[in-house]
Amino acid sequence: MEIEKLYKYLPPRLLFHIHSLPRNILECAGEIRLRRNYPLSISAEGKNHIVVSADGKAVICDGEELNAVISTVCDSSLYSFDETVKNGFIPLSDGGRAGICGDAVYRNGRLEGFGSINSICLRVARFFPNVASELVKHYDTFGLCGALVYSPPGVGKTTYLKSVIYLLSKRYRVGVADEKGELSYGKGYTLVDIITNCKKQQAIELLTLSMSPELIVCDEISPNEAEGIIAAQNSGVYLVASCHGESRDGIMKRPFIRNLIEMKVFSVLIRINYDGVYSSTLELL
Amino acid sequence: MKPIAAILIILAGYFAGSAIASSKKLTLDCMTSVLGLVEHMKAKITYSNLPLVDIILSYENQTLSDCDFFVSYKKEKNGNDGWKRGIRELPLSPVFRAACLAFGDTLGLLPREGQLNKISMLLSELEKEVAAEKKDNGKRQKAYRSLGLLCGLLCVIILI
Repeated sequence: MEIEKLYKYLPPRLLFHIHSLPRNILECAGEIRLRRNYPLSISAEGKNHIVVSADGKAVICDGEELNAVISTVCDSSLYSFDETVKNGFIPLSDGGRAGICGDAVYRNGRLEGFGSINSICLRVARFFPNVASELVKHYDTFGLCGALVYSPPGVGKTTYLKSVIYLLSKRYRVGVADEKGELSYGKGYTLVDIITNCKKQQAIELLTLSMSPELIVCDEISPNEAEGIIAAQNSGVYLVASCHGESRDGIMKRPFIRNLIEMKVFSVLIRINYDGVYSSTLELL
Repeated sequence: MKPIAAILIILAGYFAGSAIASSKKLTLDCMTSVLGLVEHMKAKITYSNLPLVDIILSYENQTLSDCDFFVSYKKEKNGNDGWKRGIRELPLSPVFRAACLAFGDTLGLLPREGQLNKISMLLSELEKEVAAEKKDNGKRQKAYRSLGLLCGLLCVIILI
Protein backbone atom coordinates (compact mmCIF):
# COMPACT_ATOMS: atom_id res chain seq x y z
CA MET A 1 0.00 0.00 0.00
CA GLU A 2 1.34 3.41 -0.96
CA ILE A 3 0.02 5.04 2.19
CA GLU A 4 2.56 2.99 4.13
CA LYS A 5 5.23 5.37 2.87
CA LEU A 6 3.78 7.97 5.22
CA TYR A 7 3.70 5.80 8.34
CA LYS A 8 7.26 6.71 9.33
CA TYR A 9 6.14 10.30 9.96
CA LEU A 10 3.36 9.39 12.39
CA PRO A 11 3.43 9.00 16.18
CA PRO A 12 2.63 5.44 17.38
CA ARG A 13 -0.88 6.23 18.69
CA LEU A 14 -2.09 7.76 15.42
CA LEU A 15 -0.44 5.01 13.43
CA PHE A 16 -2.25 2.40 15.50
CA HIS A 17 -5.64 3.96 14.72
CA ILE A 18 -4.86 4.35 11.03
CA HIS A 19 -3.85 0.69 10.90
CA SER A 20 -7.29 -0.26 12.17
CA LEU A 21 -9.04 1.32 9.16
CA PRO A 22 -10.56 -1.02 6.58
CA ARG A 23 -7.98 -2.30 4.11
CA ASN A 24 -9.94 -1.17 1.05
CA ILE A 25 -9.73 2.44 2.26
CA LEU A 26 -6.02 2.21 3.05
CA GLU A 27 -5.27 0.68 -0.34
CA CYS A 28 -6.53 3.70 -2.23
CA ALA A 29 -5.62 6.36 0.35
CA GLY A 30 -3.36 9.13 -0.87
CA GLU A 31 -3.35 11.60 2.00
CA ILE A 32 -3.25 11.68 5.79
CA ARG A 33 -4.56 14.89 7.31
CA LEU A 34 -3.67 15.98 10.83
CA ARG A 35 -5.17 19.03 12.51
CA ARG A 36 -4.22 20.38 15.93
CA ASN A 37 -6.95 19.27 18.39
CA TYR A 38 -9.24 18.14 15.57
CA PRO A 39 -10.00 14.70 14.12
CA LEU A 40 -7.43 12.77 12.15
CA SER A 41 -8.60 11.93 8.62
CA ILE A 42 -7.58 10.14 5.48
CA SER A 43 -8.39 11.08 1.91
CA ALA A 44 -8.99 8.29 -0.54
CA GLU A 45 -10.31 8.69 -4.08
CA GLY A 46 -11.60 12.15 -3.30
CA LYS A 47 -13.51 11.06 -0.18
CA ASN A 48 -12.67 12.02 3.41
CA HIS A 49 -12.61 9.31 6.06
CA ILE A 50 -12.43 10.37 9.70
CA VAL A 51 -10.32 7.95 11.72
CA VAL A 52 -12.28 6.58 14.67
CA SER A 53 -11.15 4.58 17.67
CA ALA A 54 -12.65 1.28 18.85
CA ASP A 55 -15.30 3.12 20.91
CA GLY A 56 -16.50 4.96 17.82
CA LYS A 57 -15.08 8.36 18.78
CA ALA A 58 -13.01 10.38 16.35
CA VAL A 59 -9.27 10.21 16.96
CA ILE A 60 -8.08 13.69 17.90
CA CYS A 61 -4.54 14.75 17.04
CA ASP A 62 -3.11 16.76 19.95
CA GLY A 63 -0.50 19.52 19.78
CA GLU A 64 2.36 17.34 20.91
CA GLU A 65 1.63 14.75 18.22
CA LEU A 66 1.37 17.43 15.56
CA ASN A 67 4.73 18.89 16.67
CA ALA A 68 6.26 15.42 16.54
CA VAL A 69 5.01 15.02 12.95
CA ILE A 70 6.39 18.45 11.97
CA SER A 71 9.70 17.55 13.57
CA THR A 72 9.90 14.24 11.70
CA VAL A 73 8.76 15.69 8.39
CA CYS A 74 11.41 18.43 8.44
CA ASP A 75 14.07 16.26 10.08
CA SER A 76 13.96 18.58 13.10
CA SER A 77 15.18 21.40 10.87
CA LEU A 78 12.23 23.61 10.02
CA TYR A 79 14.65 26.52 9.48
CA SER A 80 16.02 24.78 6.40
CA PHE A 81 12.56 24.82 4.78
CA ASP A 82 11.84 28.54 5.18
CA GLU A 83 11.30 29.09 1.47
CA THR A 84 8.95 26.15 0.96
CA VAL A 85 7.07 26.87 4.19
CA LYS A 86 6.28 30.31 2.76
CA ASN A 87 4.62 28.45 -0.12
CA GLY A 88 2.70 26.22 2.28
CA PHE A 89 4.54 22.92 2.07
CA ILE A 90 7.52 20.88 3.19
CA PRO A 91 8.90 18.39 0.66
CA LEU A 92 9.17 14.84 1.99
CA SER A 93 12.36 12.87 1.58
CA ASP A 94 10.80 10.31 -0.79
CA GLY A 95 9.15 12.81 -3.12
CA GLY A 96 5.86 13.27 -1.32
CA ARG A 97 4.72 16.54 0.16
CA ALA A 98 3.48 17.81 3.49
CA GLY A 99 1.05 20.67 2.93
CA ILE A 100 0.92 22.96 5.96
CA CYS A 101 -1.17 25.84 7.22
CA GLY A 102 -1.57 27.80 10.42
CA ASP A 103 -1.17 31.34 11.73
CA ALA A 104 0.40 33.29 8.88
CA VAL A 105 3.07 35.85 9.79
CA TYR A 106 3.54 38.83 7.47
CA ARG A 107 6.50 41.20 7.34
CA ASN A 108 6.60 44.22 5.03
CA GLY A 109 3.49 42.92 3.33
CA ARG A 110 5.09 39.54 2.53
CA LEU A 111 4.22 36.18 3.98
CA GLU A 112 7.18 35.19 6.15
CA GLY A 113 5.90 31.83 7.33
CA PHE A 114 3.63 30.45 10.01
CA GLY A 115 3.77 31.39 13.67
CA SER A 116 2.32 28.02 14.50
CA ILE A 117 1.44 25.17 12.19
CA ASN A 118 -2.07 23.87 12.87
CA SER A 119 -2.71 21.48 9.99
CA ILE A 120 -0.58 19.08 8.01
CA CYS A 121 -1.61 17.14 4.95
CA LEU A 122 0.83 14.31 4.24
CA ARG A 123 0.56 13.36 0.61
CA VAL A 124 1.98 10.15 -0.76
CA ALA A 125 4.21 10.26 -3.84
CA ARG A 126 2.92 8.02 -6.61
CA PHE A 127 4.81 6.80 -9.62
CA PHE A 128 3.02 5.14 -12.51
CA PRO A 129 5.53 5.11 -15.36
CA ASN A 130 3.16 4.74 -18.31
CA VAL A 131 0.20 7.02 -17.58
CA ALA A 132 1.53 9.60 -20.05
CA SER A 133 1.91 7.16 -22.94
CA GLU A 134 -0.91 8.83 -24.89
CA LEU A 135 1.01 12.12 -24.93
CA VAL A 136 4.16 10.29 -26.01
CA LYS A 137 2.23 8.69 -28.90
CA HIS A 138 1.02 12.15 -29.88
CA TYR A 139 4.62 13.42 -29.87
CA ASP A 140 5.72 10.42 -31.93
CA THR A 141 3.10 11.26 -34.56
CA PHE A 142 3.16 15.06 -34.62
CA GLY A 143 6.47 16.01 -32.98
CA LEU A 144 7.07 17.90 -29.76
CA CYS A 145 4.72 20.67 -28.70
CA GLY A 146 3.70 22.43 -25.51
CA ALA A 147 1.18 20.62 -23.31
CA LEU A 148 -0.84 21.78 -20.34
CA VAL A 149 -1.98 19.13 -17.86
CA TYR A 150 -4.92 20.05 -15.64
CA SER A 151 -7.19 18.54 -13.02
CA PRO A 152 -8.54 19.43 -9.58
CA PRO A 153 -6.04 19.17 -6.71
CA GLY A 154 -5.00 15.67 -5.63
CA VAL A 155 -6.04 13.87 -8.81
CA GLY A 156 -2.58 13.14 -10.18
CA LYS A 157 -1.02 15.93 -12.22
CA THR A 158 2.38 15.41 -10.60
CA THR A 159 2.14 11.65 -11.14
CA TYR A 160 1.38 12.33 -14.81
CA LEU A 161 4.33 14.71 -15.15
CA LYS A 162 6.68 12.14 -13.59
CA SER A 163 5.51 9.69 -16.23
CA VAL A 164 6.12 12.33 -18.94
CA ILE A 165 9.69 12.78 -17.67
CA TYR A 166 10.23 9.02 -17.45
CA LEU A 167 8.95 8.27 -20.96
CA LEU A 168 10.33 11.26 -22.82
CA SER A 169 13.75 11.38 -21.16
CA LYS A 170 14.60 8.14 -22.94
CA ARG A 171 14.78 10.05 -26.21
CA TYR A 172 14.79 13.78 -25.53
CA ARG A 173 16.79 16.10 -23.30
CA VAL A 174 14.29 16.97 -20.62
CA GLY A 175 14.82 19.87 -18.20
CA VAL A 176 12.81 19.76 -15.00
CA ALA A 177 11.97 22.89 -12.99
CA ASP A 178 11.15 21.16 -9.73
CA GLU A 179 10.30 23.90 -7.27
CA LYS A 180 8.56 21.62 -4.80
CA GLY A 181 10.98 18.71 -4.96
CA GLU A 182 8.29 16.28 -6.10
CA LEU A 183 9.18 15.63 -9.74
CA SER A 184 12.72 14.54 -8.93
CA TYR A 185 11.64 11.33 -7.29
CA GLY A 186 10.45 9.33 -10.28
CA LYS A 187 12.43 6.25 -11.21
CA GLY A 188 14.27 5.35 -14.38
CA TYR A 189 14.84 8.89 -15.66
CA THR A 190 17.46 9.05 -18.39
CA LEU A 191 18.34 12.32 -20.18
CA VAL A 192 17.17 14.57 -17.39
CA ASP A 193 18.54 17.78 -15.93
CA ILE A 194 16.74 18.81 -12.78
CA ILE A 195 16.75 22.09 -10.89
CA THR A 196 15.22 21.64 -7.47
CA ASN A 197 14.06 24.13 -4.84
CA CYS A 198 14.34 27.01 -7.31
CA LYS A 199 11.52 29.32 -8.31
CA LYS A 200 10.01 28.01 -11.55
CA GLN A 201 10.52 31.17 -13.58
CA GLN A 202 14.20 31.30 -12.69
CA ALA A 203 14.60 27.54 -13.14
CA ILE A 204 13.04 27.72 -16.63
CA GLU A 205 15.39 30.56 -17.59
CA LEU A 206 18.44 28.76 -16.16
CA LEU A 207 17.59 25.47 -17.84
CA THR A 208 17.02 27.18 -21.18
CA LEU A 209 20.29 29.09 -20.96
CA SER A 210 22.56 26.46 -19.54
CA MET A 211 21.25 23.00 -20.45
CA SER A 212 19.56 23.57 -23.85
CA PRO A 213 16.74 21.09 -23.18
CA GLU A 214 14.31 20.04 -25.90
CA LEU A 215 11.49 20.01 -23.40
CA ILE A 216 10.96 21.55 -19.98
CA VAL A 217 8.59 20.03 -17.44
CA CYS A 218 7.27 21.99 -14.48
CA ASP A 219 4.46 21.56 -11.99
CA GLU A 220 1.62 23.94 -11.06
CA ILE A 221 2.35 27.09 -13.01
CA SER A 222 1.12 30.43 -11.71
CA PRO A 223 0.96 33.98 -13.11
CA ASN A 224 4.50 34.59 -11.75
CA GLU A 225 5.97 32.12 -14.21
CA ALA A 226 4.12 33.33 -17.31
CA GLU A 227 6.91 35.69 -18.37
CA GLY A 228 9.65 33.03 -18.03
CA ILE A 229 7.51 30.51 -19.89
CA ILE A 230 6.92 32.87 -22.80
CA ALA A 231 10.66 33.69 -22.96
CA ALA A 232 11.52 29.97 -22.96
CA GLN A 233 8.91 29.32 -25.63
CA ASN A 234 10.45 31.99 -27.84
CA SER A 235 13.77 30.20 -27.56
CA GLY A 236 12.30 27.03 -29.05
CA VAL A 237 11.99 24.95 -25.91
CA TYR A 238 8.66 23.19 -25.47
CA LEU A 239 6.94 23.11 -22.14
CA VAL A 240 4.86 20.51 -20.38
CA ALA A 241 3.27 22.13 -17.34
CA SER A 242 0.35 21.58 -15.03
CA CYS A 243 -2.26 23.74 -13.36
CA HIS A 244 -5.31 23.27 -11.21
CA GLY A 245 -8.60 23.23 -13.05
CA GLU A 246 -11.85 21.34 -13.36
CA SER A 247 -12.58 21.94 -17.02
CA ARG A 248 -11.22 23.61 -20.12
CA ASP A 249 -13.65 26.50 -19.68
CA GLY A 250 -12.55 26.83 -16.06
CA ILE A 251 -8.86 27.15 -16.81
CA MET A 252 -9.53 29.50 -19.73
CA LYS A 253 -11.10 31.91 -17.25
CA ARG A 254 -7.68 32.39 -15.66
CA PRO A 255 -6.09 35.27 -17.61
CA PHE A 256 -2.50 34.03 -17.56
CA ILE A 257 -3.50 30.57 -18.83
CA ARG A 258 -5.60 32.12 -21.58
CA ASN A 259 -2.68 34.37 -22.43
CA LEU A 260 -0.25 31.43 -22.61
CA ILE A 261 -2.63 29.48 -24.84
CA GLU A 262 -3.17 32.49 -27.09
CA MET A 263 0.62 32.88 -27.32
CA LYS A 264 0.68 29.27 -28.61
CA VAL A 265 2.80 28.08 -25.68
CA PHE A 266 0.49 25.08 -25.37
CA SER A 267 -0.92 23.13 -28.28
CA VAL A 268 -2.38 20.29 -26.26
CA LEU A 269 -4.58 20.18 -23.17
CA ILE A 270 -4.64 17.05 -21.04
CA ARG A 271 -7.37 16.45 -18.46
CA ILE A 272 -6.42 13.94 -15.74
CA ASN A 273 -9.09 11.70 -14.23
CA TYR A 274 -8.67 9.31 -11.33
CA ASP A 275 -11.35 7.05 -9.94
CA GLY A 276 -9.17 4.22 -8.74
CA VAL A 277 -7.60 4.05 -12.19
CA TYR A 278 -5.75 6.85 -13.94
CA SER A 279 -6.95 8.06 -17.27
CA SER A 280 -6.28 11.15 -19.33
CA THR A 281 -8.11 12.99 -22.06
CA LEU A 282 -5.97 14.66 -24.69
CA GLU A 283 -7.42 17.63 -26.51
CA LEU A 284 -5.83 19.56 -29.36
CA LEU A 285 -6.05 23.34 -29.30
CA MET B 1 51.97 -0.16 61.25
CA LYS B 2 50.09 2.81 62.68
CA PRO B 3 52.01 5.52 60.75
CA ILE B 4 51.41 3.64 57.47
CA ALA B 5 47.68 3.35 58.18
CA ALA B 6 47.55 7.06 59.07
CA ILE B 7 49.24 8.01 55.79
CA LEU B 8 46.87 5.78 53.83
CA ILE B 9 43.80 7.33 55.47
CA ILE B 10 45.07 10.85 54.82
CA LEU B 11 45.83 9.97 51.18
CA ALA B 12 42.38 8.41 50.78
CA GLY B 13 40.79 11.63 52.06
CA TYR B 14 42.92 13.68 49.71
CA PHE B 15 42.02 11.55 46.70
CA ALA B 16 38.32 11.61 47.60
CA GLY B 17 38.52 15.42 47.67
CA SER B 18 40.35 15.38 44.34
CA ALA B 19 37.67 13.13 42.82
CA ILE B 20 34.94 15.56 43.84
CA ALA B 21 37.04 18.43 42.49
CA SER B 22 37.47 16.72 39.13
CA SER B 23 33.76 15.97 38.88
CA LYS B 24 33.18 19.71 39.33
CA LYS B 25 35.81 20.32 36.66
CA LEU B 26 33.94 17.91 34.36
CA THR B 27 30.75 19.90 34.93
CA LEU B 28 32.55 23.05 33.84
CA ASP B 29 34.06 21.27 30.84
CA CYS B 30 30.64 19.98 29.79
CA MET B 31 29.09 23.41 30.17
CA THR B 32 31.87 24.95 28.07
CA SER B 33 31.42 22.20 25.46
CA VAL B 34 27.65 22.68 25.27
CA LEU B 35 28.23 26.41 24.91
CA GLY B 36 30.60 25.66 22.04
CA LEU B 37 28.03 23.36 20.47
CA VAL B 38 25.33 26.03 20.62
CA GLU B 39 27.71 28.53 19.00
CA HIS B 40 28.44 25.94 16.31
CA MET B 41 24.69 25.47 15.76
CA LYS B 42 24.22 29.22 15.45
CA ALA B 43 26.94 29.53 12.81
CA LYS B 44 25.68 26.57 10.78
CA ILE B 45 22.00 27.55 10.93
CA THR B 46 22.88 31.11 9.91
CA TYR B 47 24.90 30.14 6.88
CA SER B 48 23.58 26.77 5.74
CA ASN B 49 20.52 24.59 5.29
CA LEU B 50 22.14 21.59 6.94
CA PRO B 51 19.75 19.42 8.95
CA LEU B 52 20.08 19.68 12.72
CA VAL B 53 21.34 16.13 13.08
CA ASP B 54 24.27 16.83 10.74
CA ILE B 55 25.06 20.08 12.53
CA ILE B 56 25.13 18.48 15.95
CA LEU B 57 27.02 15.37 14.91
CA SER B 58 29.61 17.40 12.98
CA TYR B 59 30.66 19.12 16.19
CA GLU B 60 33.83 17.37 17.32
CA ASN B 61 34.24 17.49 21.08
CA GLN B 62 35.95 14.92 23.24
CA THR B 63 34.17 15.89 26.49
CA LEU B 64 30.70 15.47 24.96
CA SER B 65 31.77 12.22 23.29
CA ASP B 66 33.14 10.86 26.58
CA CYS B 67 29.84 11.72 28.29
CA ASP B 68 27.88 9.88 25.54
CA PHE B 69 26.03 13.04 24.52
CA PHE B 70 26.08 12.13 20.82
CA VAL B 71 25.08 8.51 21.50
CA SER B 72 22.09 9.70 23.52
CA TYR B 73 21.20 12.28 20.87
CA LYS B 74 21.04 9.63 18.17
CA LYS B 75 18.77 7.39 20.24
CA GLU B 76 15.76 9.67 19.74
CA LYS B 77 13.76 9.94 16.52
CA ASN B 78 13.32 13.71 16.71
CA GLY B 79 16.15 16.20 17.04
CA ASN B 80 14.63 18.16 19.92
CA ASP B 81 13.99 14.98 21.93
CA GLY B 82 17.55 13.85 21.17
CA TRP B 83 18.92 17.18 22.37
CA LYS B 84 16.96 16.93 25.63
CA ARG B 85 18.03 13.35 26.20
CA GLY B 86 21.67 14.23 25.56
CA ILE B 87 21.49 17.21 27.93
CA ARG B 88 19.97 15.05 30.68
CA GLU B 89 22.96 12.71 30.44
CA LEU B 90 25.51 15.48 31.03
CA PRO B 91 26.75 16.71 34.40
CA LEU B 92 25.59 20.34 34.29
CA SER B 93 24.57 22.98 36.79
CA PRO B 94 20.79 22.99 37.43
CA VAL B 95 20.22 26.44 35.89
CA PHE B 96 22.31 25.58 32.84
CA ARG B 97 20.46 22.30 32.38
CA ALA B 98 17.02 23.91 32.76
CA ALA B 99 17.88 26.55 30.13
CA CYS B 100 19.09 23.89 27.69
CA LEU B 101 16.01 21.70 28.22
CA ALA B 102 13.63 24.63 27.69
CA PHE B 103 15.51 25.48 24.49
CA GLY B 104 15.01 21.88 23.38
CA ASP B 105 11.22 22.31 23.34
CA THR B 106 11.36 24.40 20.16
CA LEU B 107 14.67 23.26 18.70
CA GLY B 108 14.19 22.54 15.02
CA LEU B 109 10.54 23.60 15.07
CA LEU B 110 11.02 27.28 14.26
CA PRO B 111 11.79 29.20 11.10
CA ARG B 112 15.37 30.39 10.74
CA GLU B 113 14.92 33.83 12.26
CA GLY B 114 13.01 32.50 15.26
CA GLN B 115 15.50 29.68 15.75
CA LEU B 116 18.46 32.07 15.66
CA ASN B 117 16.75 34.39 18.16
CA LYS B 118 16.23 31.47 20.52
CA ILE B 119 19.87 30.43 20.11
CA SER B 120 21.09 33.97 20.85
CA MET B 121 18.95 34.12 23.99
CA LEU B 122 20.24 30.74 25.12
CA LEU B 123 23.83 31.72 24.40
CA SER B 124 23.66 34.84 26.56
CA GLU B 125 22.15 32.79 29.38
CA LEU B 126 24.75 30.02 29.08
CA GLU B 127 27.66 32.45 28.86
CA LYS B 128 26.64 33.98 32.19
CA GLU B 129 26.38 30.55 33.79
CA VAL B 130 29.75 29.40 32.43
CA ALA B 131 31.43 32.62 33.59
CA ALA B 132 29.99 32.16 37.11
CA GLU B 133 31.01 28.50 37.17
CA LYS B 134 34.56 29.33 36.01
CA LYS B 135 34.92 31.97 38.69
CA ASP B 136 33.96 29.54 41.45
CA ASN B 137 35.61 26.47 40.02
CA GLY B 138 39.29 27.33 40.76
CA LYS B 139 38.54 28.11 44.38
CA ARG B 140 36.34 25.04 44.75
CA GLN B 141 39.00 22.69 43.40
CA LYS B 142 41.46 23.72 46.09
CA ALA B 143 38.75 23.70 48.74
CA TYR B 144 37.63 20.14 47.93
CA ARG B 145 41.21 18.82 48.00
CA SER B 146 41.94 20.57 51.31
CA LEU B 147 38.66 19.34 52.77
CA GLY B 148 39.52 15.78 51.72
CA LEU B 149 42.92 16.09 53.33
CA LEU B 150 41.39 17.51 56.52
CA CYS B 151 38.78 14.74 56.67
CA GLY B 152 41.60 12.20 56.36
CA LEU B 153 43.48 13.89 59.20
CA LEU B 154 40.34 13.98 61.33
CA CYS B 155 39.76 10.28 60.78
CA VAL B 156 43.39 9.57 61.77
CA ILE B 157 43.02 11.62 64.98
CA ILE B 158 39.76 9.90 65.87
CA LEU B 159 40.97 6.39 65.04
CA ILE B 160 44.53 6.57 66.34
